[in-house]
Amino acid sequence: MKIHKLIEGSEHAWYVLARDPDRTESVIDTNEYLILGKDEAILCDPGGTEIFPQVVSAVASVTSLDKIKHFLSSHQDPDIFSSLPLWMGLCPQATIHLPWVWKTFVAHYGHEYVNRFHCLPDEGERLMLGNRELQFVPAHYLHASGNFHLHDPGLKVYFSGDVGAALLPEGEQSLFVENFDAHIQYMDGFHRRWMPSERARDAWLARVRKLDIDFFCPQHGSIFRGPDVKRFLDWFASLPLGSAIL
Amino acid sequence: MVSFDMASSASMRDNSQILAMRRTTALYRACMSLASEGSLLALENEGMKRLGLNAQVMAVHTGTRGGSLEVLVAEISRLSTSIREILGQLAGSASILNEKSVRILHMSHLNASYGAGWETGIMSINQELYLRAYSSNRERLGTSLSELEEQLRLATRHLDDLTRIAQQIPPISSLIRIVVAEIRMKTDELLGTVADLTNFHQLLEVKIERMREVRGQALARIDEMREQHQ
Repeated sequence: MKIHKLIEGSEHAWYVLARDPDRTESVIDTNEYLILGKDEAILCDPGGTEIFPQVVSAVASVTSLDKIKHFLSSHQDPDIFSSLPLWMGLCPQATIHLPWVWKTFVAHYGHEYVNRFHCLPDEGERLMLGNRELQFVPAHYLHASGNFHLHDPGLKVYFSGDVGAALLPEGEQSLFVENFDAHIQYMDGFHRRWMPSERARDAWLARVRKLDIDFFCPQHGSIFRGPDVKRFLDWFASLPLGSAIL
Repeated sequence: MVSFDMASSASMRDNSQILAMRRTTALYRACMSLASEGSLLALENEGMKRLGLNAQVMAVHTGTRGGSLEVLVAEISRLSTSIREILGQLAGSASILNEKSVRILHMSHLNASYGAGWETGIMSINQELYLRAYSSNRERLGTSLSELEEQLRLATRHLDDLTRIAQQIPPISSLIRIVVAEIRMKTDELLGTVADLTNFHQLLEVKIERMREVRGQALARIDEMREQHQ
């Protein structure tokens, strides 16, 4: 697993863990994001049990693990946080922020930690990381019926969960989208199939277009930078969704 | 941009970890199997109750000649009740065995993941915290193994009780034959009872043997797992 420092501010930095070269082929490749403040950190979508050893090793290489005070489980899928009991064994005092609709589902990964769950209301919430404000942004039905992204207005980074995800072929290891048009082929099918609601997409777009974003960071595939962020939003805006509605 | 390349843990899941997972799965299966054999016996014991009723009906039909049949009814009924009670206790143990073995399976997976994480590499600043979580999980695993072992020993006592009761079945079969000779009447039903009882006795012995075997396998897996985790 490789860990890269994405951007650093005066009080905190974003790291991305991505492109595990030794990942078992049957397991989808995921990106994990660590936001590291002076005294505390939040790990976004820490990943499944299968990749825990690589993720914990990489995270431990840049921070003290007891600094992790927050986890975001953007939704309930196993690649998001089936490693929950392992992380909570290491960071028992951490808070797990998750959509309220998934509380009893995520509890299947480790019911003994349910008292550490913080259920996010549908409209989202603020989270203070030290002095920096982060925002849990609603992205319901994109794809899960309860779904949150995380925006950092200070460093202009937006963790977008499965929105912007791409299923990259073997050998395509680029951390950032380098050629937007060429990248479309890797995300087109995913978004048509996984994203069920154009109405939900439009509501989300209206919200996100107002945000200042330099890095648009999906949970799978490459990160969008600069002008590619708007290119992605425009492309997504015109995409027909729900391809399996027969 | 700072970049660290960490080794994969996939190759770190060495043979000993795979072996550990196999042992845990074998332990889980053994516990499930013990529970399942007990449930099957409970169903067969329902047949014993029917035999008791059958003998009761015969006693009513034979009137005064049926005095010894009443003794028989009482014996079959006593036997059936005892078996039911022990199977109930065994089912209670089996239910706890299921729960504990699932928990152990879960904790063994966690243990393997912590082990793989350690082998992948944990920077020194985090080693103490990491080892604390790893050890804590291992301790919980050890406690669960001890609790499972205790339940298996309890199940052993139930199996011993069941064996003692099974030994009482052949004398009852003999008693039925004596009664049949004594009342000198149409005795197809009772002779059928003898055949049923004989079959049930055989089944009981096979199941008890099977449950002892499975229990032995489970205890052996516990010993191996303890050795592995030391």
